[in-house]
Amino acid sequence: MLGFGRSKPAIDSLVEAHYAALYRYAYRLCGSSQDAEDLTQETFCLAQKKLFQLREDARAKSWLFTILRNAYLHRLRASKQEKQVSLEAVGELSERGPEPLPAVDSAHLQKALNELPEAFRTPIVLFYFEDFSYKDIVEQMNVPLGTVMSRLARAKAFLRQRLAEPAELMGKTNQGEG
Amino acid sequence: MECQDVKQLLAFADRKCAELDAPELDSLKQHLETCPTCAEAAQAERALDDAVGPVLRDVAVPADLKAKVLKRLAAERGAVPWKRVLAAAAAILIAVTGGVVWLNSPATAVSEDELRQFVSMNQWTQETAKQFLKDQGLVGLPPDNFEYGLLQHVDVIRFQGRLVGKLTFSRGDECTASVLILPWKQFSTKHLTENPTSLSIRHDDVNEVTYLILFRGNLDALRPKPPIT
Ligand SMILES: [Zn+2]
Repeated sequence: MLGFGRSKPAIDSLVEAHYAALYRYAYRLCGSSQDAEDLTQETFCLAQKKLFQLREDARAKSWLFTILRNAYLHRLRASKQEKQVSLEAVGELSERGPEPLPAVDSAHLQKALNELPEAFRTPIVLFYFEDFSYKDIVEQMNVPLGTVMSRLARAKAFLRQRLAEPAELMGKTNQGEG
Repeated sequence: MECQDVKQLLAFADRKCAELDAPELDSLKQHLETCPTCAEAAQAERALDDAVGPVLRDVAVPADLKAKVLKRLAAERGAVPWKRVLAAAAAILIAVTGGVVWLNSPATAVSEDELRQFVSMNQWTQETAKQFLKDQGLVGLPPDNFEYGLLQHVDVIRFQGRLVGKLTFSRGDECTASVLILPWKQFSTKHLTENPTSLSIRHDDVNEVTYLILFRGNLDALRPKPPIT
């Protein structure tokens, strides 16, 4: 008899190890729990089909994150929700924080993330997830390190500015985006 | 170190995966101790990270998500032909023994040839073994110089963290051998040495794979018979 069906499929171990991190990533990227669930499922379905491409187990997490982002970008383009604006409006990164930040609220933070174009949202989410080095982020986004760094700096400046505002003002101060 | 460099390095400091080496961290620290402007910038950076990071990471994961994902993956695997054949074969066994058959998916037409192949009653050939491995998404061809009539199983196994093909040949008590097909891109076997009674190693330069042949008995018993002339 064939042996393949007897042992636990390799993909199942990947699900157990990474589904939670992938869901969190998906949630911060798309800002909706339903979409995040769908994206997580889609990611593993794609991974199951492409499992032979995974050369090293140690790279599995980064590989899955890359699949998830590509799936997300695909949806974004299909729904034409992608923001066309750059962060020019945010201005230069201020040398220092103007005043201490108020306590950050999760929904408030998500609202601010949603306002960022994906090219800025992805690096900052990956940065704060702390599991990936800059090298990993560069590989996942397929852009040079300098680009990652400057997007990160601008995204941080944007968050600093947004999170210093009361939540109810958000979305009203930067009209023209979206 | 100049203030300009510090601005660059700050983004690399305090990372969970160490991005800076010890000398870099030292000179950064020294600069921050003596330059109030940079020290303030560093503090503001850290304050933002401390305020945002933990909140951003704190996302509640739905309790049933893992089960949902595993179920969907299993369902998608169910669409793989050989698995359908096995399920249909099991259904037939139940049917012929007089059991009640419940099918929760549309019935699949069973071909006797396919059925015999997958319960290993048909003889494997190098070609069918190759096709099977290919269907599982594996690279690497089954080796030449084996009598494929003696091939008992074709398995996909997890070996040192990677999926590889494994062929098991056997001729009665004379010889049993398991052949692992290891692509060069994934495995290095340079440090391995052959053992005349249990391990043979063959490198295939064309297909860029190594065959690790673990055997008991006389390996020659598994070689193809010369054609009758
Ligand atoms: Zn300085």
